[in-house]
Amino acid sequence: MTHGTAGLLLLADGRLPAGGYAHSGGLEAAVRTGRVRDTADLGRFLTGRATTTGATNAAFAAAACAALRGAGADAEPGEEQQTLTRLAVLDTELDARTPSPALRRVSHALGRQLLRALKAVNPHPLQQRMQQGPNHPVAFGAGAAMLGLTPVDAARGVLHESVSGPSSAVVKLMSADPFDAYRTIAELRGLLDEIAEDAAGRALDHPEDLPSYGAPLSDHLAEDHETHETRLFAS
Amino acid sequence: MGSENTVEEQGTDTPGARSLRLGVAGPVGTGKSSVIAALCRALSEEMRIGVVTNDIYTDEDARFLKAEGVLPEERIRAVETGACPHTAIRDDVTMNLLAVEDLEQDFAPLDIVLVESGGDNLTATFSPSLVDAQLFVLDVAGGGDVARKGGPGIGRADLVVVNKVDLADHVGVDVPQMVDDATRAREGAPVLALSGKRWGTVEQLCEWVRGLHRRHLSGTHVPTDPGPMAPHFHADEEGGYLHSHV
Amino acid sequence: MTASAALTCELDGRGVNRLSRLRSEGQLVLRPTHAKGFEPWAHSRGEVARVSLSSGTAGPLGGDRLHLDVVIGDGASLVLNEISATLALPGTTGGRSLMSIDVRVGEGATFIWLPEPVIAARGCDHRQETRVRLAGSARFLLREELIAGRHGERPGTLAQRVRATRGGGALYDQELRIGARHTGWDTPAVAGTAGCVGNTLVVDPGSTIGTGTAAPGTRSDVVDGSTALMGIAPDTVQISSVGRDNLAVSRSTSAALEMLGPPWSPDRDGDP
Repeated sequence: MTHGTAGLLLLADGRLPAGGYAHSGGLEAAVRTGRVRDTADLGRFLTGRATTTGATNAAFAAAACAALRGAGADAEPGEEQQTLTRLAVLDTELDARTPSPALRRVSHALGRQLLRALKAVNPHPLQQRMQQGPNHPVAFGAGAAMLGLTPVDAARGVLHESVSGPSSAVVKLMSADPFDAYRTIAELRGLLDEIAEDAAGRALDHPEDLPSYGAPLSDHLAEDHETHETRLFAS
Repeated sequence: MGSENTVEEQGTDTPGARSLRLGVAGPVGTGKSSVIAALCRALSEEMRIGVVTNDIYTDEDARFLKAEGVLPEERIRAVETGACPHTAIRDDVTMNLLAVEDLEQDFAPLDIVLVESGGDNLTATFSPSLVDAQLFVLDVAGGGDVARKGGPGIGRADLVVVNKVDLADHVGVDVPQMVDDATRAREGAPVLALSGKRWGTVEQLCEWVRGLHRRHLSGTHVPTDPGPMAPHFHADEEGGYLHSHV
Repeated sequence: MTASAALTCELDGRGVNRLSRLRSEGQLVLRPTHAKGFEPWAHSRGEVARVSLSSGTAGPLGGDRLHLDVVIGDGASLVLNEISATLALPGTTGGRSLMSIDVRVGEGATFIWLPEPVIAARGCDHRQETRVRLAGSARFLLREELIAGRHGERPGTLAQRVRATRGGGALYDQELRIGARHTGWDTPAVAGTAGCVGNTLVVDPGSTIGTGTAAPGTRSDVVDGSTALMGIAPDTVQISSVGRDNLAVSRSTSAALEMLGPPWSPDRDGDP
C-alpha cells in the first residue's frame, strides 16, 4: 500500500499549527522535580510515556480513525450519526481513562486546536458536527481518517507526537544535546512500531475494551505543574 | 450539507461582521500591558473590549491587567506560549485564534479584542490570520536609535507607539528625533509619542483606535501584513552578507 | 485451580442488612466478620454488614482462575475487607493467574472495599480484572495497593485493572501494570523506583468532593510529591500514590482521605 504517507507526515508534523509546541508532555515538571536529569532519564521517561498513555492514546486514535473510515463522504445520514455517536463514546471512555483533571483539560484543548486547524487545512463536513473539543487522540484519529489515513497511521502519529513533543522541549528545560534527545526516539522506534500495530489491531474493539494503562507519576507531574506560577510550557 | 456549515463559519470571519482584532507587539518591557490597560481604561465606556494576553511564563500579564481592574476579569484570557511568543502570533496562531473566537462568542457582540504578544524582539509581528491591525510598541528607555533600526514591526505595523516619553530626559533621548526617525523608517506611516502620565497622548491613541474601528466596520480597513523577518545583516570575516529568513 | 465465590448483601423487610448469599470456594473464603481497623464512612456505623475474604491456600498461582461476584442490593451497606495480603506467585507449570471480580452496587447502596495489598512475587504473572457497576446513587470506596515484589525481590508481572461505570457510562478505568514484562513501568513517567503503588477511588453522590476551583470534577490537591487527590467527577475522586513501600503509600492515602473530610476522614472525636 502506498496510500496516505503524505497525509500522515502532515498530521504528525510538530510544526502543524495546532498549538502542540506549547506543551512538554509532562517533561517540564519531571525535570523540575528531579525525576529527569539527563538524556538517559529522558529515554526512560519517553519509554514509560509510550507504553502507558501513549499506547492508550494510540488505541483511541486508531479507533476514532476506524469509526470515521466506515462513513465515507457519501455516507447515509444515519451512518454519519452512528459515527458521531461512536466518536462521542470514545471521548467519554478516554476521559474515564484520564484521572488527572489537568491532563483532561490539556487533551481537550489540544483536540480542539487540532480540529480548528484541520477545518482550515483539510475541510470535511463532519468537522462541524463533531464535538468541538474532543480529546486530542479522538481528534487526531478522526483527522487522520479525513486525510484518507488508516487506523495504524493514526496510532503511529499519536505515538510519534507523544515522544517528539517532550524531545523537542527538552533543550529548553535542561542542558541537553538535541541530537541525544532525538537519538532516544530513534532507539524507541521498534517499541513505538510495536505499540502502534497493537493499537491498530484493537481499532474495532468495543470502546470499553480499549486499553486504559495508567501512569500515576505522569498524573502527579501534571497536577504539580499546574500549581507552578512560573512555567515555560502549558503542560 | 456540511459545506453550508463551512460557509456559515467562514461568514463569521468577514471583517466588520465581528470584532476588530488589534494586536499589540513590541520588545520586552516597552509597556505593552500598560498600553492595553490605558486603552481599556479610556475606551471601556464607549466600546465592548476583550483582551487576550500571551506570556512566556504562565499568565503574568493577564494577572497584571486583572489587578488593574480595567475590565471585568472574565474578559481577559491568557494563552501560554511554551516559551515561543513569536510562534503564537505568527507561525501557529491556533491557540490565540481560539481564545479570540471564544471571547467574541462568550461576550458577543464585542467591538474590539486586543491581543497582547509576549515580549519578544524587534522582528516579531502578528500574522494577518490572527489580527486585523497591529501596534508596535517601543519605548524611549530602549534607546533613541531603535526606531532607526527598522524591521517589519517598526516599518510596517499599522501604528508605532514610542512609549514612556515622560522618561526621555532621564535617558537622554530626543523624542522628536526618535519620532522623526521612526516616521522616516515607516515612510510616513503614523508614529505616536505616548506617556500613560500624559492624558493628551492617551487620547491621541484612542482617537487612532476609534478611527481604525470605524474603518473596520465600514470595510475600508485593509489588513496588511508587516511581513516576516526582514532581510538583515550577519557579520562574518568577509564583511558580512545580507540574507532573509523565510 | 479454578474457584468462584459470591456474596450478596440486601436490606430485608425491616431495613436490616442481610447476607443473602455467601458462597466460598477453594481458596476464596468469605466470612461474616467485625470491624477491622479504620473504615472510612462505615467505622462508626453499627448497621453495616461486614465480610472478610481470606485465602484458603497460597497464591494465586500461575494457572489459577479465580472469580468473585459481589452484589449490594438497593439501600444495603457492606464493608468487605481481607484477612491478609495477596501474594501472587508463579505456578509450577507457568502461565498466568487471573482474578476477576464483578461488583454491582444498587441505588442508595454503599460498598466499602478495603482489600489488603497485592504483592507481585518474583516470577508471578497475575492479572486482576475488577468491574464495578454503580447505580446512579450508589456510594463506593475502593482502596487498593500493589507491591512490587517482597523485600529485596524483583517483581514478577502484575496487571490490575479497575473499571467503574455508573448508570452504564464509563466513570473510571485504569490498568496499572508493573513488573518484568511491562516495559516502562519503572520509569519517571509511570512508577519510578517505587515499591508500592496505591489507588483509591471514592464515589459519593450528592457530595462535591471532586469539585475544584476551576470547575466541577476538577479538584486537584497535590498531597505530596508522589500523591495526588484528583477530581474524576463532581462527586468522585481518585487518590493516586506512589511510594517506597506500602507504609508510605498508606500514610499518604490516609492524609488525602483526611482532606476529603467526614465521613471519609477518620472521625477523631469518635476515636478513643
